[in-house]
Amino acid sequence: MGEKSNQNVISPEMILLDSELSNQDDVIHYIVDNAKANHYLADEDDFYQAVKKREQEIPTAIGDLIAIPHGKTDTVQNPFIAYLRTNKAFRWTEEKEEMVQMVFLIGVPKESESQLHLKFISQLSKKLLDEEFREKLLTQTDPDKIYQQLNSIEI
Amino acid sequence: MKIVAVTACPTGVAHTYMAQEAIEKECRKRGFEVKVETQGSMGVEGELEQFEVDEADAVILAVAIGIDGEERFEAKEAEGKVISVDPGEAIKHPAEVIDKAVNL
Repeated sequence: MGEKSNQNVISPEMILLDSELSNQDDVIHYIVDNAKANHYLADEDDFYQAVKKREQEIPTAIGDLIAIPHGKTDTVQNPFIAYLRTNKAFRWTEEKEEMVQMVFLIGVPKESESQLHLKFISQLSKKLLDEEFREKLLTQTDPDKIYQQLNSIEI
Repeated sequence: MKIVAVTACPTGVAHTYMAQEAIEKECRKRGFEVKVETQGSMGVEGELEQFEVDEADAVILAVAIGIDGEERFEAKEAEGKVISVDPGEAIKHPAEVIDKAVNL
């Protein structure tokens, strides 16, 4: 009970609204660098490659302006979800039409000892299918409110 | 209508569970009975027993990797009651996926 499942998985420093970035590479680079700066990653290049590799297998844009790139590597120090919202929707890949404006980047260690973290991440992913929840993420202008919204997910 | 499904993706952190949610949601909307087994980073959850598979009208395998216990679906496969889709497809177009399953 006392243990908070979402402890540190989401942090205010990892929520960025009003980004002017407009392509997948720049967005992923930006978030990965930020994750490194906030001590979620030991090595940003290794993690970046893992995320890009996953994108190349199957792009993670899932419709409704959302993409959830993710990577699972040993360089992840602490599981995390970062949120970046751009001012304008952009094409997630050159090949496909899918437009994206909300990017959730997820990082987990290869061997995760914490099931609770994983549970939290899976619950948050599910919530993204909830229209009302998505609408708030798209329109809310106060990053603190977004933080609270993401943090309020129950597992 | 009774539907069972397995969802699994390479990393098993997000798509596995989103596909589960999308399938469950669409089935509930239609008043179908549904059970979804997830094979993700938290291991196997909601494991389907053989009798549950046997009782189902259709099986949806929303998987992008090899899964454990595939033999459970062999009989259904032989009856032509199994569809395989990418997890992303189940997330993006759950209605179409369920339509396909219903029309098997």
